[in-house]
Amino acid sequence: MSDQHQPAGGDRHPLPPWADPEVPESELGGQEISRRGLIRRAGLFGAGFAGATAFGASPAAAQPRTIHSGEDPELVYLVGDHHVHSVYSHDAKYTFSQQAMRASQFGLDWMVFTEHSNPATSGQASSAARMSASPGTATGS
Amino acid sequence: MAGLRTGRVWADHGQLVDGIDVRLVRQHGWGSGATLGGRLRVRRGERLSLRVTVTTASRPNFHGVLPRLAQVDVIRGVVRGPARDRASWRAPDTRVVRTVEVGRRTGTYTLRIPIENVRDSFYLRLRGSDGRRTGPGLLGRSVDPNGPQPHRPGDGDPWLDTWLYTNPIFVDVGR
Repeated sequence: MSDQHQPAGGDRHPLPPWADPEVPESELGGQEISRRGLIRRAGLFGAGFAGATAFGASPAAAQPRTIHSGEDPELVYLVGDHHVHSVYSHDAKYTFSQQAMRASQFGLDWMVFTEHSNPATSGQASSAARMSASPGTATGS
Repeated sequence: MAGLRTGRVWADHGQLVDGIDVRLVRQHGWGSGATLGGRLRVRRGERLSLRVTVTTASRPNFHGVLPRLAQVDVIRGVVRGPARDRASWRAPDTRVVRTVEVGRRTGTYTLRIPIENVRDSFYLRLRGSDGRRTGPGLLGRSVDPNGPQPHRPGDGDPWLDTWLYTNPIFVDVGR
């Protein structure tokens, strides 16, 4: 748990638009503006926030290993769901696109698909995924 | 991914808060302190302070209610190395050591909680709840007076019984 895993050299993790000072507020939705306000109130947005290396946003060489010293960097938490199933699992019914749309609606920054990958359902899943790619096509039960 | 790997993680059930930041600092020290998943090396007897910055929920959750954080529990446990009996599922010296009532507070605020009796290495973690459905936990009132209560099967609404849990911060106590 105490091991600091540095990203591979040059592997810069992109910030979500609401946390990126280069994205103007006019390009954000209401929820994104709210979240930007959250880090602004915490004094993290802008210059101070550029130092937020929680996600390995800086090259390893520029960032001293601080994990043992009690000097952790300023951080912004990214909201995510680490356990999502889609049509590719036998016990779920939504496609990647539908999941991504809801994730965006409810303010997730990231999610992880953790499928069962049962061979018996994967064929049906592929066709369901293709169908939902056409606008206006309902899938699911 | 780096954040997950270093344990900088807290989990929220039901959108109880908009944000929480936790820092463990030396009471008369300097610097930003250790955060979730981190480790603070201290001397025996040193006085520490837990700084908890909460931003309360600003949006109704999926159920249409605006969750309100009512209690913040500080959980503390001694770290003694690998368990002799890994099947016991017990951490004998872990319990809720303090509950802070915050139900009247809204917006962004910071709690400063003194951490004393620094003798053996230990960890700290936080639990928050809306205070609507709490009672003695699995191991009794002396260990957990405000724990979550089971619902009857099919009779629970996760958006009306909201909790948050943070990962631990570890404290290594030197001699």
